[in-house]
Amino acid sequence: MIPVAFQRDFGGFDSKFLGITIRFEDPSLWELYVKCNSIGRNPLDVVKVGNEALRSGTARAFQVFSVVTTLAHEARHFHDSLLSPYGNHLFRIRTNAAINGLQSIGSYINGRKILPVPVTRWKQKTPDELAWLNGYWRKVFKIDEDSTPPRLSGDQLRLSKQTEAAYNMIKNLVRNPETDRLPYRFQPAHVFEASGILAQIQNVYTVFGVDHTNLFMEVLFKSQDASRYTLPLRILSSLFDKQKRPMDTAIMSIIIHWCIMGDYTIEKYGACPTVRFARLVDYLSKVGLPSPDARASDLYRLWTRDLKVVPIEQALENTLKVNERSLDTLDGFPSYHRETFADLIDTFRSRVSAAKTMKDLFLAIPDSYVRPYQHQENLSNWVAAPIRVDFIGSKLVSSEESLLPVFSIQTAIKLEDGKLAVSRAIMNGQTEGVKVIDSEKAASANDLITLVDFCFSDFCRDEPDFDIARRTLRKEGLFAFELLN
Amino acid sequence: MSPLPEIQIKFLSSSEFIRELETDFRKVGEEVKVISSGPEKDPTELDFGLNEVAAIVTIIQGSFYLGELAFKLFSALKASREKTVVVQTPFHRAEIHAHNDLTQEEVQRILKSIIELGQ
Repeated sequence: MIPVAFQRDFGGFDSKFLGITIRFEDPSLWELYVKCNSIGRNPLDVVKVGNEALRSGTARAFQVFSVVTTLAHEARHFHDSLLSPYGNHLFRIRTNAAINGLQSIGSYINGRKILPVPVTRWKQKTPDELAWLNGYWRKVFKIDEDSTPPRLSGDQLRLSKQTEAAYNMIKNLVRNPETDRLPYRFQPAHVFEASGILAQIQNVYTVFGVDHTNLFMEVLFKSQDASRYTLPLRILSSLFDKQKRPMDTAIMSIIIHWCIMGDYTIEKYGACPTVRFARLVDYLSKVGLPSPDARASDLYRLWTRDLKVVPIEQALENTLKVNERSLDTLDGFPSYHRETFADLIDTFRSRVSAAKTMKDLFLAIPDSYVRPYQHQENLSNWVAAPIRVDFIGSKLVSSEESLLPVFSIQTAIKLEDGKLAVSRAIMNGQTEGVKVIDSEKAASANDLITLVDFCFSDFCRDEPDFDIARRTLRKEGLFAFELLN
Repeated sequence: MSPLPEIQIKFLSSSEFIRELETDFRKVGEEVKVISSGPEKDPTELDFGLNEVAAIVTIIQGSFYLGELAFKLFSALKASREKTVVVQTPFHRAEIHAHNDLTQEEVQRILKSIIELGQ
């Protein structure tokens, strides 16, 4: 079990932000991260940090290994998201939802001072519940405002319906209703997390060594708290056991990667990573696991043929075409729309370009991506990721002069002594790789998507970023009123 | 902001912690009304952040909210294996982490902050 007093998760892929996000509760862990990940670091110093951690007990060692290698884990999520049809599909729907939602939200506001959110939940309120809201608002806001949702028509109704439909699609994408009914929860996120954790295991091995990797894996695999990271890996591990083979993380990575490459344009929800995982595991349990030196491209051809799914090359080509069609639609918007959504459209454009770069590189030598060691050794070839850092509880306190060379500050409080307590920042540099994405525009696009999530999504209402949306609405003279049930 | 007669508040945490909290709340009487409780099936983020969580939505009398609730939450967090709870009102959301130097006063400050309407 990972002791709860320690921060367990230093990342967390956020599909709203076109980059990677790392999180720190304790500024000293941020310092450790910088020390071990800065460009001019001495690898021997990093090894020393790892060895000292190994001697200081399991909990501390796990924490240190997690902090130092979190970038490898998150970089893998970022690249998987750019490359996979799933990641592309999700971002396209999100972009469309944001553009439609931002246009239709005005019709819900329509001169109001209080905006109940999410509007989908608001529209389902019974007359009794609406009456309760009226009374509550009178007490809280000292104003009489009718809580009845407006009746929309014409374009506003169409945009609102399209936005709601988009959120239903997102919900079904992230939580496949079929696999959600299984006795254990198994969702696409589990498969993507497995990919991230395999990258991280490789990175712990490369950076620190064998003993460190064994400790890291033992904690992860035995911890109930880490089940979301390891569910598919534990299933694969039992397959290796049954076939009396030592666990092979490179082969595991090849398997996991195949699962995230289903073609949503043709196979719809049959392309879901969970469905592909279940089918592939069933198949491998019958025909046996591949040999350690098998080439990914050969395996993918075989599995695709035997399981009768769309070849990965075609899935990537189809994804690219749909991306480009979506971009054409955005470029065809009237100029005032293109100006209003400029950062969102530019971010989408750079994402389409990044996905194409990833596709071309992957198809040239699939093993160079799917085998974690090769992926990390060739990091400079892949697309560079903007890096967003969240300091939980605004615990990074420093002067503006010392922060600005490192960060663009997104959210901070100015303290009495003039220093800043930072809660969110974008790093000036990006991860190693080909620079395609503008970090600042990606952050701006994230804020727009967050605002629409806040107004429309009836799930994931505990999103920490919603405070940003709340403040944005407040600046417009609106009180957002969260409907809690 | 003057204390409200009643405050709607949602608590989100591990299933185990929410069960403990609900048991506690049901003993309180009329000052705490449990509106709904159960597992929260939603991922905590829109895609990659799955957690096994549960939530309880309550309506709490203003005097209890600003008084005894901080003690109840503080004690529950200190006693429980779970060290984090998300508290959310219609106006704000906050996370309470039971680190070693967490005090009852800090919990109270957080609870007050999530009923502020803001400027």
